[in-house]
Amino acid sequence: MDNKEKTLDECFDAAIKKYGDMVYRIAMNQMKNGSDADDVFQEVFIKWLQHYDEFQNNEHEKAWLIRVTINQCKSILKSSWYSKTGEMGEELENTLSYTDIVQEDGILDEILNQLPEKYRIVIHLFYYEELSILQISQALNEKESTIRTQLTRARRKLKQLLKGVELDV
Amino acid sequence: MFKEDYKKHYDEIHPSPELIERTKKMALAQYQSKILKLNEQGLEEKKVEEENYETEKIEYTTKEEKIIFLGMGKRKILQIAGGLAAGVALITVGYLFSGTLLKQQRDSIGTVAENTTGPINIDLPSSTPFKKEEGKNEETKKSEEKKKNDQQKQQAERTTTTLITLAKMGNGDGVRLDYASNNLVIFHGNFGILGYNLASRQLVVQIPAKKYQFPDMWTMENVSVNQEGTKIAWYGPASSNMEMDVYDIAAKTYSKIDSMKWQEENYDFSGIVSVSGSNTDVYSSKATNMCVKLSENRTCQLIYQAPSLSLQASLGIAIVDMDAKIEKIYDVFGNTGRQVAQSYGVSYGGYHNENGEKIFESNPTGTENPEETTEPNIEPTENVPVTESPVEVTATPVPEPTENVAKPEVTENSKRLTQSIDIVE
Repeated sequence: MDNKEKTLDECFDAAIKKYGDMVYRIAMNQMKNGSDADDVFQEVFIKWLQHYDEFQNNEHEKAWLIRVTINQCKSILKSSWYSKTGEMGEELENTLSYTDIVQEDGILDEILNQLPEKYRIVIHLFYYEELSILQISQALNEKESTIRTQLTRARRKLKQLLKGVELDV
Repeated sequence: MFKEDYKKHYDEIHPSPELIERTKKMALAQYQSKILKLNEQGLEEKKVEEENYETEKIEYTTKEEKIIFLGMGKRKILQIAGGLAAGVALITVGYLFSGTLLKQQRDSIGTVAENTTGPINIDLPSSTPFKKEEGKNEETKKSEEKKKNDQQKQQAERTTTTLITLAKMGNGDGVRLDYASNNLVIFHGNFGILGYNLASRQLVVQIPAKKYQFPDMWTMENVSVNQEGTKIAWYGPASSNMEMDVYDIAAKTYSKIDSMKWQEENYDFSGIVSVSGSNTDVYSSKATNMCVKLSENRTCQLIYQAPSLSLQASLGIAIVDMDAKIEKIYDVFGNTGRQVAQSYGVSYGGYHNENGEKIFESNPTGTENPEETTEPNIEPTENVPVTESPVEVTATPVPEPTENVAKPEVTENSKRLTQSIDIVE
């Protein structure tokens, strides 16, 4: 392996170490099953390698990864939107495995699954990745007011679903 | 605390080492093949460039060596002494050669001056712009072809779905149950908000999505119904003003309300529970996974009666009575769904599970049940052939809810349902 390839290999490993969990968790948040999340993860990092030398800074890279991950999730969700109609049985089997694994946490998953994808990602980026409204709006390419609205609605919905459990703001 | 539970939940989610390894191999392989292509192209271009450069270099050097600057002095004198007429022309020429003139003044006049600076490097512009997207290798070609075929297949399926949209009315993922009582069931999807009266078997609430310009189906997720089931509220297109549209079911009027005020004045219906593994799961209720408990052993759930395109029915409301072991299914779109499905040659088998099996025993009182006692005759059809120019189905305009509720059309199915209705007040 020549020097350039070695450097690239190291770059890739560093990126996976830094952002791999984040990308995978966003994918799981959106896709709700492991196999689709795996696909998203692969596609995102293949694309990352094509653009790895174009990022201005870490924030830019992170925002880019978040956006690409979400876009990739949307593409898969859109494409399976109609194919699910004809293959519900198989889809059920595929999703069941994830549901079975995660069902240990049960209630939280059921609650989160009742939120639409749009709200789930905002909740995830806010509560888990601890991004600010501004950062979320940049990552999702939305206005700050839109993100604020979505967050408020998501919290309201969660409150309703959680029934009395306080949300830590 | 929600935040802590949430963090704990996601902290345990990681990509597997196998996934990482696989991703790395694929990514590097694709990157390397791309570089290889680039290099091959680059070498070819470079070769062409070099050949051209050599020719130019030789010509230029030869010229430089043989340029004779005889008469430079004379030219200079002519410029100084030159008259106005010659001056303009010479100044122009002089401008072009000024660099060389000044330089050569130092040399002796009338002798051959050699160009000692050497040939000037000429940068020929690159003939081929750098292509970011390179020629693809075999694997990528195959996967792209496969992707294209999949897309075409999905498009075909989507077209088929379009043809029978009225019958299917969206798919399970999009439809949400908002409210249910013994009389009224309210739900919404990408078609809008609907309310079905179980007694009259009519759609008594019809709020089409298009009318209120919901930007996309996700906005429909904000529908809420008050505890009594008398008002429905939803958020309009995304905005920061937090205003909600409200529909009064009894008065059949629309109004607007601040979302905080809605919360204060109207306690949201809280009867929705999520389900899995219920008997009605065979109807692909997994996607809807919500039900309302009407009483101790009676539930209401939305269902789709056919999990595949070949077994076609439409959105239904399933009222399950565990004591009596009866499941009654109300076909929300009734005849319309059946007619549209049949007009496209799709089998409409009524209510049944995907295996054609009975779910419950027949009613012990002997009242006529819908043909659940015998296995429904299911004729799975092949995939509906998609013509090249599919006929677009234009949805018949949804009638506004009127005061006078028309009598439901009596058909076989409705007869059976009417006879078997058992609504507990």
